[in-house]
Amino acid sequence: MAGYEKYIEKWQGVRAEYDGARLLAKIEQRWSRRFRQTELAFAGALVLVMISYVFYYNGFYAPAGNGGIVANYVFQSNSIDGDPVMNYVLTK
Amino acid sequence: MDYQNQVWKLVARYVAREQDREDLFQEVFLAIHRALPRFRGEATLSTWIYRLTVNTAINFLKKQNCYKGLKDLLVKLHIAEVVEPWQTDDLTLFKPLEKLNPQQRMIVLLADVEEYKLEEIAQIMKLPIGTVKSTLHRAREILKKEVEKHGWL
Repeated sequence: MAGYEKYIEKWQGVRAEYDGARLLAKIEQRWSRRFRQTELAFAGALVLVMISYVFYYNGFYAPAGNGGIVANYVFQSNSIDGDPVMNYVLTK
Repeated sequence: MDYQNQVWKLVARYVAREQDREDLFQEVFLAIHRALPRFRGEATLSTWIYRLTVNTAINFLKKQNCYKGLKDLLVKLHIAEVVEPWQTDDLTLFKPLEKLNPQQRMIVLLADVEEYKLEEIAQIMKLPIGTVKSTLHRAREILKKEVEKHGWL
């Protein structure tokens, strides 16, 4: 028992000083870092969605009149079959 | 400020790593913020805060134990780095506590270190007093063995 009592005594002597200002600053710093990471992840996801959208509906190498945005630009074609957004924009 | 001190004291004794302490402290105050509208004043505010601290701390440790296997695997595969768990001066103090489950750890800390009465612990942890008594007994037995092994005699 002596060993256990000594152990508990040691525990009771452990000082756990609370430094509110320091802790708050660290927590704030961590939250802003986490927020920045979330922002970056969101922006990255948005870019990926946009790229996949472009590739899916407007394959870069699709021939003019068949939806390719590059080809459409080069051949000045307005026909963009299969792209719901561009079709809507162009028919308005 | 007094409650923050009280919460920090328990948190610092419950987990060893400084970052875990800060995480747990933050989680406790988030839990308080979320649960405050439901506080009906049946217990005193300090008991209520202590109960939330205890529950959050036990869940925190359980969650950490769940991820321990995954962390070890990531370290083995060299995907993650080994995080030195002992960053405090009282590193050897935590070793025997590691052998206890989260609930046993909390009960021993409350009973023997913080010197709460068994009735108070039962109230804080919402457990029958018999369970508190038997858990404390089991935890002390484990700790005694560990303490002897680590040379606290």
